[in-house]
Amino acid sequence: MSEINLAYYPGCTLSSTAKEIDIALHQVCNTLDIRLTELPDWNCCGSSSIHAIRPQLAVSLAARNLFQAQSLGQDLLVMCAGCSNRLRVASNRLSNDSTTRRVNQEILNNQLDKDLKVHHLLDLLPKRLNQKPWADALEKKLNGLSYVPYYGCLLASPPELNNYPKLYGSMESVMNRLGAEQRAWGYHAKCCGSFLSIARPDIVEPMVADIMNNAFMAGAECIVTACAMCQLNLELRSKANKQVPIFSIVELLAYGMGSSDWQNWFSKHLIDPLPLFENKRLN
Amino acid sequence: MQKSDPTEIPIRNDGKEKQLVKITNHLARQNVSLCWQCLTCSGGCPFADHMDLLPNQVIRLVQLGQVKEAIKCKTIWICVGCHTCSTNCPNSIDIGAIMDALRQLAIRYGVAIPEKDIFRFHKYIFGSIQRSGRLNKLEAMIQFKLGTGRVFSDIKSGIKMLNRGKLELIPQKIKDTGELDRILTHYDKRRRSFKAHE
Ligand code: SF4
Ligand code: SF4
Repeated sequence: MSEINLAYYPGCTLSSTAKEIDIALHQVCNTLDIRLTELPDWNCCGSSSIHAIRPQLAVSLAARNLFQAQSLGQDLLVMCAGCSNRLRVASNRLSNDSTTRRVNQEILNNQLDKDLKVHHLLDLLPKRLNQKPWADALEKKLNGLSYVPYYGCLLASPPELNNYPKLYGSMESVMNRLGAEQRAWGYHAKCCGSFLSIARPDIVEPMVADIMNNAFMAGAECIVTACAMCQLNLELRSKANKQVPIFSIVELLAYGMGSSDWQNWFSKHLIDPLPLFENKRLN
Repeated sequence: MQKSDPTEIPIRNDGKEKQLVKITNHLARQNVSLCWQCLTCSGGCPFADHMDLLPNQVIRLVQLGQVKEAIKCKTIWICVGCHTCSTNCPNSIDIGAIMDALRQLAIRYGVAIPEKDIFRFHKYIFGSIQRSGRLNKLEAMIQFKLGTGRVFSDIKSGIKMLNRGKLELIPQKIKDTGELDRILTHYDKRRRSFKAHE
């Protein structure tokens, strides 16, 4: 079966705040024969803040990364919901909007030959895991663990990105293969608060409390996310009395593939998941 | 939560309305006249409780040419651009993009910004990226906290993050800063940047 070669954009979160997800992602991709080449000199995609106050500049910041992927001759893999939106919008506009093309040609002396695809791991996963030989890479290591999936903004995108696949069900299909049991809840696409978590914690705290509380009421022992930013916001802004551990889908995948250094990642969580694992005798 | 009633905002016409609507549409790449005020956006917005105008009301003001009123509200700053609204809008209007456009206009026209902390936060993030091309969260957070004068308000979570190795002490920097400079200068030349607010 064929390998997939992708350029990889870690982004500021995975290269600092969530280093463990970066490590787990590399292990997962390695097992699935997805070869990643990190962009040689990537810059921040502008995060929500640059987009908020200077949207055109944010497109150029993203463009610089896209041009690097283009010179590697590969489509791009991104793990962060925010980054992937920013890069997708930029890719769209650089290939379809003449003004954006011209301006960025002027600044960066480069242009996008064709619409560069920006992938999120979740849009590759379900298909990859259905094929041999990768279908056997996962063991049912999470038998009996109940969870709720939390996608956050990953399920929402501006109308101009409607040509990209929606990711509904992709985390569930992975968790199913790991033997975990899904609980029903209505918060899978609820916003985590984004930058307001720092700028206006007073707004975000009740929202996060609400999300946590509902995970509790749904009978879930943990929340599974696909975005490092969501994970951080949920961990940072929830109150201690009612908390469930938050996992990244990538960490659990790597764990299910038999990775040995999972304790290192789990010890970096702000809400310690080890007691849950010991309780369930999951190791 | 008390909402201001947009019907109480006096309609002021000075002949520039149409042009301002055009500018807003252009910056947002949207067409506000497509909105039929169904309120789907406001019904789903997770931050509606903290806004002074509901998202559909902001759009209504723009439709009526009252862009100068729309750029004064808190809503455009509270909006995080989560796209919950635009995903569900029956007319595929990118409401977040309209908020982006209004925010830009608010900065350009130098109106008083009602959510100072949020604006300050954006500026520090911008500064961090301006200096190194990558975002250093520790640097931006410290500056932000010093700026608000509430240094100790969040110290616990900060220390927790430091202990778990979640904040980097040494900022990363990109290699080719020439390209970054070109990007920054290009957009600085084209607009009156933040000067109105510093
Ligand atoms: S959902 Fe769309 S059409 Fe309905 S009020 Fe909001 S912007 Fe207008
Ligand atoms: S994009 Fe803005 S207005 Fe729309 S739902 Fe999110 S916060 Fe509300």
